[in-house]
Amino acid sequence: MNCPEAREAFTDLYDGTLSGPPLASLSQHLDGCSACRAEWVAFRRAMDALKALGDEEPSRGFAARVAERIEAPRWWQRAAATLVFPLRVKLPIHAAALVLLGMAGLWMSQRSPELQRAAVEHAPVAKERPSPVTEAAPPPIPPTSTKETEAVARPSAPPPKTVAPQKFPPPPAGAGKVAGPAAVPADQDVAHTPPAREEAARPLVAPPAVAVPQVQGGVADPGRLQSAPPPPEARTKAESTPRADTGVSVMQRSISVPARRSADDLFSSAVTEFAAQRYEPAIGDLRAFLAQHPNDGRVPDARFLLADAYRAQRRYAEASDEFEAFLRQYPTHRRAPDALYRHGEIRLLLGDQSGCNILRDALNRYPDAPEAAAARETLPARCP
Amino acid sequence: MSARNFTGWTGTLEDVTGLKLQQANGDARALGAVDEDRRLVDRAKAGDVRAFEALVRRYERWVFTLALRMVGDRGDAEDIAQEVFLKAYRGLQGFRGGSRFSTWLYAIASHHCLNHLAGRDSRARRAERTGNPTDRHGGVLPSALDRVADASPGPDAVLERHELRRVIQNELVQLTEQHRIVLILRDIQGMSYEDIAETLGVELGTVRSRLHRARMELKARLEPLLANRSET
Repeated sequence: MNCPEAREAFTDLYDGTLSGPPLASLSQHLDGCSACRAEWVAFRRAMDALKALGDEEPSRGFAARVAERIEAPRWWQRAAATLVFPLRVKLPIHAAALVLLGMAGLWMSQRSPELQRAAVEHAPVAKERPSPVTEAAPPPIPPTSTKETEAVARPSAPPPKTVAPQKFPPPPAGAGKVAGPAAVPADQDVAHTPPAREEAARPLVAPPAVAVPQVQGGVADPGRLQSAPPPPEARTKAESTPRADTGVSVMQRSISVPARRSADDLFSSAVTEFAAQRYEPAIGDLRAFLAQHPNDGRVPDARFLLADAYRAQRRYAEASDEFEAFLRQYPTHRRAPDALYRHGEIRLLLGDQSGCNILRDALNRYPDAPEAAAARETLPARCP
Repeated sequence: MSARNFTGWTGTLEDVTGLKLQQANGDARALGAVDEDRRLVDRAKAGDVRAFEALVRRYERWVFTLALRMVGDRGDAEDIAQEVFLKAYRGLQGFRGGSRFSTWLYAIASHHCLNHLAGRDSRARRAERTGNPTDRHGGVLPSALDRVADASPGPDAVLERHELRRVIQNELVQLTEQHRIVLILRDIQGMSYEDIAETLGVELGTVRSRLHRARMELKARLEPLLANRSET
């Protein structure tokens, strides 16, 4: 048996289908041929590595989702079903739909700016009736979430001049009533309300602040429109941080303090997610890892993985930025060759011809890197 | 190569014996499974969706693994697996029971994967003709980069192991579809030559020759990487 014949028999040998004289002949050849022995070892090693890939499971609830799709009527079945409804079924449905449409139209028209203006014109009537909250509210520190109380209780307060940031849409016409005393009891000490409750109460108050521009001709009652900003002293007493007077800042504060996780936990979780090709959570973990553990020894690996995760998600612009940053910070890292080749390739994928120069640079600096061969193929094809 | 390493080949015979035993055990289990499959198929044919859902649970892992190894992307693989089961459900009335349900399902899954890849390749070729930058195997990952074999040892063994798996998966998707599917059916899913031939609708000799070429090609691709790793 010669070498090609021996190598041709590897598959049979591996599958255990070789026996008798062919097996003896192959055995004899392998005993005497070190090259074929090495080939056989490499063959087995590759097969073992392939087998190690193993089975994978789909995400949880896969079977139920399939069943759901089976049970859901297909589009033509739905269309057919709609067409062949008997009249006695269709008529009530159509009638109900018409009624609903009418109600929706009415609801929307009531929230139009014109009707809001009409509501504003009735403001003096409301002003004549003193609010129970005004009487009940403690004068020195008015509750911050019932700003109208403060405005009415201090008639000398300046009329609203500034307009709250236009982040909120114009409020519904009935917003003044909703956000009034019923929303926050007058005897509630909002200054001591925990942030979460304060947060919950705030949306009822914040949106009406933008009602100011719609009040034309100065007929508006500030108390009714709730547009007066709280005086600085009230703000200072009621809230612990200077910027806590906007719902957004409270929200940002609550979001920007995530539970701190250990470096090992974050990194391991990121790697696991990455390996399972769940790149979005991997990116989240990696970013958290980098933010919370900037001095950890695995930071370079994490930065490389982050760039690679973006690349796998085809978010090439972000991947390019990350690889570039990685190369700038760790030019001699063992992953620098990979990063450079990938960076060049990504630039090309972004349609940026500077990728050609990056790949040429990579070939000059790391001509023996395993990825050099691929780059040599890429260059003539994409960089004429 | 050391003598200790070389004894690996005589060890192969033991491994092969073990493999055969494993296959025999698997066959015994399979016989019981065939009856259960038949019962579930009958109920599903009568309109019992829950019975079909049970069939999905029995085979979801198999179908998903095949799809994942063929396309290399979990999201795509899950979509493909869903389509395979939907196709199977819609074609269930045509399944006469002449072969095992598993073989019938594997055939649907294999052909669906091959069709999906063929469609993706043609889309990639179209994109290439129109000059859009795209990767060479239809968008999973930029292929020139996929071939990067990160042979350097890292500080974190977990990371390295995952990367190794990723690199092997990436090398696997570089093989032609016909080679890849035979390799997956045989060496990952553990099917017999006969079942592979039936599933793919090809001759036994074709299975054997494709498998051998696929194995040799994968060996050549992985050799530098695995040699480096074993040295380190």
